[in-house]
Amino acid sequence: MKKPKFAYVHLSACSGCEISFLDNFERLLDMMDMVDIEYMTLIKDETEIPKADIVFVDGAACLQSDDAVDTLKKARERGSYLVAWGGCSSTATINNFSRGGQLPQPQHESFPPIKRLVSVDAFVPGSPPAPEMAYNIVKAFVEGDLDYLKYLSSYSVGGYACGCDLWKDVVENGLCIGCGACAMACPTRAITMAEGRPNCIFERCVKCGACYAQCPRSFLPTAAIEKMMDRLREE
Amino acid sequence: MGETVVIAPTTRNEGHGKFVLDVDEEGVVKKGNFLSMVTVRGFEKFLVGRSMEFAPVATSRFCGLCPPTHATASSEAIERSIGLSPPHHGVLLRELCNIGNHLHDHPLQQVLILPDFVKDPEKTKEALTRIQKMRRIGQYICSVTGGEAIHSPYIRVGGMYTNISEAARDKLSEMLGEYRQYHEAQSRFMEEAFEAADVPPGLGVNDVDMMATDLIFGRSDVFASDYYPYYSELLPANYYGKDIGVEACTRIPMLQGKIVEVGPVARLWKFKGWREKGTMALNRARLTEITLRIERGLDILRELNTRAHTLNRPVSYGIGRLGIGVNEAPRGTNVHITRVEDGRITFYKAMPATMWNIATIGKSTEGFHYKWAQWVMRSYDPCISCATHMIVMHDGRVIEERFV
Repeated sequence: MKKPKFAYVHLSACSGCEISFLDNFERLLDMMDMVDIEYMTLIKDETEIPKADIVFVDGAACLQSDDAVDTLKKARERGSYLVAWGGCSSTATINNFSRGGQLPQPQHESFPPIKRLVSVDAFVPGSPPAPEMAYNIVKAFVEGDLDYLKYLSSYSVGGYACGCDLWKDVVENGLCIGCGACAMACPTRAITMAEGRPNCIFERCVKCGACYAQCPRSFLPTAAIEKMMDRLREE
Repeated sequence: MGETVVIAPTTRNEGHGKFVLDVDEEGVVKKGNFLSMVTVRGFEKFLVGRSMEFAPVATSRFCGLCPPTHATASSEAIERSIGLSPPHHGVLLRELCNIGNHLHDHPLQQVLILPDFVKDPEKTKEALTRIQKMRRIGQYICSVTGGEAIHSPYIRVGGMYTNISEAARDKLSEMLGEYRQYHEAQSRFMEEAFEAADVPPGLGVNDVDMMATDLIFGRSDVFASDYYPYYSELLPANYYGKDIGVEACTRIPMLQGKIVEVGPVARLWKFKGWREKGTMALNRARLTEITLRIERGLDILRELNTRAHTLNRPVSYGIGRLGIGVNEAPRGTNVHITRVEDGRITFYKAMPATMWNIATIGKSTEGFHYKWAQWVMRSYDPCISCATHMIVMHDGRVIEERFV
């Protein structure tokens, strides 16, 4: 099989996810053996997004910048498998707070999660995600391990997120087992466990969605639960 | 007549940069402009009205290369606004966290310039492996002291959330010793590569003033007394001229009406009597800085009391006083200014290192062929996300020319 081509597209974000990608340290060289890193302006000289088998998109596209939206669309057109790598692309994270009005470009105010603009094949929330995730995804993609990628392909992982998703979707449905995975996953330490249930300090929450994505109960078959609820109502 | 050369996007630097260079017939740069193309996320606006605890969390997301510096400068600005001083060992731990960050970030710049100096793929791989080993140690120090390698959540208003354990102290000392060995080998390697390179002498030498507040950590009081009174900023149209400026919208910070340079050379210039300038001096200054930071890191680890208190709680929640927080980031002086009232932010302003340097980078390309422009830029290791929480450039009406 031909070596897959890899591209890394950077939009409005802090580059932390890019550094997290590089923080595979010596294993980065293994990743370079698995895929050809064709485009990544941080470390490569290529200036045009090439046709690639797997594209990582990092950061949100500003709706008020045609350049940014075009770049995102180009990444979708030229990439076969598009990964929303990191919080800013999968859930918009800190960009959710933007309200524009800042000189010198006061019109820049909307930075939605990229799934509102293009279709996304896999989401990796986190601010930033752990370096191992980049390694695992690239490895799973090269080996065609769909079971591993399936979990990340769920559309509920991407889009607007907040610490209260845990209450709304997990605790409220009686799914929480009090394991504390959300508190461990929180990059800002906004979540503590109180009385065996997550307690979110909203002043620290950056809305990255890592807690919900990490929750082992967030991927229960909700369709099946809905059916069960219907049955209960009928009885 | 000369023409305008545009290099966009610039490569092997953080974020998306752009050069607009006026060149003569031989391609020598007469007027150099360096601008940013990252969209404005508007941190300074969305922080207004938010709780003060949110500022270090949010501002560390300016930049993923140097998040501790923003969390530190932000916390310090808030502390100085509400009148709170962190405990001594909290400050030591904060400094150690920042040193960890410098120890990962300075070698990263070597990754970015490596293709300019080293052509042999085998040698490149050998250097990359060594750099990644160094970066691993730097990031490890950051994650132990700051809670995470990227966006350290333990840097809080009032100090550091928690102290490190005695075992962690031993391990970090040992790792710094290991780091020193890698660095010695890597320094020799880079020096050899620098010697062999045919960089024109005098490349990147400029006549701008140097600004630095400290050799390693950064001092808010020095900036507040020595520099802040002379601070002003220009709108881009006034600095770049109307053609580029109106669209460029790059705010230019100045001291006494002149642009300044911050960063490794500026720090060594002010505090170590270093008297070299230019592209190669900057590349070499980073190597010297790494050595200084390893030793300072070991000193801190020796001095740190792992049982000591590291976090003080606020007594007052602010009456809107101006607080200036300064930290020396890998790329230079990073300034955050805020006002806090009843625990909420009423005003926020940040002047990260690359924002100070962005005009200087353009100026430093002057007098040499435009093919060297990116070499000059990379020696400053600009971090455009930092600078562009507020700066932006749209495509200008100039002749587009792309090259690698």
